Amino acid sequence: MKQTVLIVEDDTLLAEVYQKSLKAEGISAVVAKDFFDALAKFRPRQHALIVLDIMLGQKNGFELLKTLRRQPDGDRFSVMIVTGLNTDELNTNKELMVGLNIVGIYTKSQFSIAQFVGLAKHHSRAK
Amino acid sequence: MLFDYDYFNFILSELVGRIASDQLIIEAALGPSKTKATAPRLLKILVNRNKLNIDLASQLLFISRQIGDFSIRTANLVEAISLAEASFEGFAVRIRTDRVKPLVDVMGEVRAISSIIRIILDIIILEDLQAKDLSIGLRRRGDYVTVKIAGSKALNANQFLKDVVDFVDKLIKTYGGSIRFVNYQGQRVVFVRMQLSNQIPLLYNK
Repeated sequence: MKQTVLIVEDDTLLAEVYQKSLKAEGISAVVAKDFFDALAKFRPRQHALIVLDIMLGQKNGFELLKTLRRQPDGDRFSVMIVTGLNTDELNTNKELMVGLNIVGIYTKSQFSIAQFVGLAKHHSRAK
Repeated sequence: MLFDYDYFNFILSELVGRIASDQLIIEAALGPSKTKATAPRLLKILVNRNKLNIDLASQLLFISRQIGDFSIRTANLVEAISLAEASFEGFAVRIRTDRVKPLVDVMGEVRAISSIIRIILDIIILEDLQAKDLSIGLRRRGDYVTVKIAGSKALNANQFLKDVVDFVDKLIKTYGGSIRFVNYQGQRVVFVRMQLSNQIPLLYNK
């Protein structure tokens, strides 16, 4: 089955840029705008990589990580966290990342689209 | 009033992420062709969104310093609205204040009220980035006055914008006011209710 990327980002403009940038590299991507949308669209056998924002509204990215940990195919996909939160806030929730293949945590202020495309390209074909 | 620093930090932290997102998209538009995924029209919207996010951050920082400093003062609401309107001069949206009548004194401080109105305008435009024509009107009833801001679409405001509204609502309660952020038939309408300053003797001589 064709491997795709699941982009979980509530900023629709940014999600669109992520999706178009990946498409330019021949990688198909699906966008989910919140926790529930992500759960509905997630296919463990199809999505090799999840690009995850943490601040998603009432149920945040940490809640999604908690749910993903319970997935039977939890080791089949990678998770790349791209967030506006600082690393201190992320470190306090580190236990939620145990058991998942977190390939990187990036803060948006120190990140670029070129970097995003390079990393997503690498991790979406890694398995 | 107890200032909720945790809530304030949470909002600022989220806002920093949003400003960083704007920067990411703008960079994508200016970057090498492979990542040039942003059309010029979108870029224009993005630059405006970035300005609004930065203004929102600076107004939130300003207002956080004003807390506890203004509850027994009196402020000319019309002056506060004019100040807020002037800050949007040259922006993509026109703000009409034809229905604002002079001489309405409310409880509060002019710059703080102006800042609150500015935050609300920022939120409204952030929800509907295509908004062109906003109107601000006043209605005086008994011991309070309501500022009505309308003219944009209700496009399913995200949790962050709702959080900012809740935060500002808590702040404005210091003046005995409140904010209602409603969806009226697909249109976003915000009502800011404020106590008239002639209520000050009644409130403080109970």
